Formats: sequence, structure tokens, C-alpha cells
Amino acid sequence: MGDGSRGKNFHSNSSINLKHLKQKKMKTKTILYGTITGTISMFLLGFLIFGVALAGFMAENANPAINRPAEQMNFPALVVSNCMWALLISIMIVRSNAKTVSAGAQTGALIGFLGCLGFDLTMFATTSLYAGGMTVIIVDVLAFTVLTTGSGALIGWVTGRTASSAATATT
Amino acid sequence: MKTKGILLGTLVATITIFFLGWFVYGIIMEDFMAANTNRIAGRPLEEMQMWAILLANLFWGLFLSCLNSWTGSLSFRSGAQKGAVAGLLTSLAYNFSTYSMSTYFLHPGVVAVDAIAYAALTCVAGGLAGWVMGRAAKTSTATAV
Repeated sequence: MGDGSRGKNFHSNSSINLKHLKQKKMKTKTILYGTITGTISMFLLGFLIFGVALAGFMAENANPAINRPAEQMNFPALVVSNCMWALLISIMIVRSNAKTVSAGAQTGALIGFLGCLGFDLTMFATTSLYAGGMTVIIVDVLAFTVLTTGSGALIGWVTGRTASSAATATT
Repeated sequence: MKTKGILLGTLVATITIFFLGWFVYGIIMEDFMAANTNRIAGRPLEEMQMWAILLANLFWGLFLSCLNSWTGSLSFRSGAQKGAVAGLLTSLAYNFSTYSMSTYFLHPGVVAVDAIAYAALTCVAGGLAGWVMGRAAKTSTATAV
């Protein structure tokens, strides 16, 4: 009888482990898809907002002594930057189970607003990077929040779809 | 209950980031940052905007507390994990963006070192915020019972 219960325990333990492993794999896949979508959307939205709509304003209000002109910008670094923001938003969306367009947008908005404000104010306090003063910081933070809200909404939608399709496949 | 926890967490994280930030960036890494960032843009100590640093720390404290609240991180360990991940990723993201558009960071290595230092800072601040928020949640549950 002892052997039989041990066998049952082994089976239930291994099925729990398998389930746990599948869930972990699904979470990783969801975060990965969210990150890819977020990176692409942040890059494109960033180009539209900062590269087109606000290009003149940003050029006027940034410190010309250290600002790179458009042709000298380091694009690989910019892609890595977008990827890191998208990864953080994806992780938070999956961890807090906010896998819908509206919940994703809220998560993206809060991360973008508080994160950007925290860093912009630190840079303003310790450097002369923002020559335009507080006005440029307010505009930068608001524009960045719009960007992360849009990307967060997309990430929320993609992670929701990935999670539901993975759940359907498991059942 | 949630709001009270977030407020307490924000307060603790803000104070922690301010003092740890001063210790890490103002003492330990002062020479390293001075040698590896563009001095044209750096403000001398006497011209630094302290009110902006305080505000920045406050927003960071709020950010970490909100993350703890969303993810249910109400212990030192889980708060520290979330704080470290958030600090590392946002710092890398912001620094790489600054590196791509300006000559403030002189080479990518500084970006990485700064991000690791900042992650250590937010790890402790997030952990303390999580601990305080957990205690606040426990106290209010006990009071309700």
C-alpha cells in the first residue's frame, strides 16, 4: 500500500511540475511577444512624436553642446532603450495580470509617466542637458507618457491574445 | 488600505533613495561618474537643483510602491526583486536613450555601471517599501478583524 501511494504521489508531483513548467513557458512566451510588439511600437511612435512632431521644439530646448545631430544618432542604442522599456511594461502587465488594452494602457502610462519624470528631474538637477528648463521636461514627460500608453495598450492586447490562445491550446 | 500602504511605501522609498543615492553617487561613484560623463553638461555641486532631486526621488518612490501594489509584493524579498528589475530596466532604457541622442555618457560601459548601481539602489528601496506595505496591510487586516 505504501508503494502504491508513493507511486500516486510521484505521478501527482510530476504532473504539478509539468503544469508549472508549462505555465512558466507560457509566461515567458507572452512576455517575449509583448516585448517585441512594444519595442516596434515604441520605436515607430517615438519617431512620429519625437522625430517629427516635436523635433523642432526638442532641438531648440536641448543643450547644443552635447546633443547629437540626427545623422550622428546611435540607433542601435535607441533600439535597446525601447526594448528595455517594452520588456519592463510587458513584465508588469503579465505579473499584474493586466492583459487587456485598457489595463495595458494604464500600466504603460504609469510606468512611462513616473519613470520618465524621475529620470528627467534627476538629469535636470545634475546636468544642463535640458537647456529649456522645466517646460521641456513637462513636454518630454507628457509626450513619453503618450508613447508608453499607446505601446502599453498594444502590449496588453498582444499578451492577452497570446495567453488566451495558449490556454485554449492546453485545454 | 491600499492608498495608505502606497503612501507609506512612497515615503520610505523616497527617503531611502535620497540617502542611498547620495552615498552611492555622491561618495562611492563620484570620481567614476566625473571621469566618464561629459563635463560640459554636468552641474557643479553648488549649482545642483536639490528640489528637483527630491521630487525625482519622490516620483521614484511612488513608482516602486505602485509596482509593489500591482504585483502584490508585500515583503522585503519580493519588493526588492521588483525594485531591482524596474531600476535596472528603466535605467538601461533611459541611459541608452540619452547615449544615443547626446554625448553625455562617454562610452556604453558607463551606461551599464550606472544601471547596475541604480538597480542596487532601487532594490533596497523597493524591498523596504514592500516590507512597510506588508506591515501596513497586516495591521489594517488585524484592526478589521
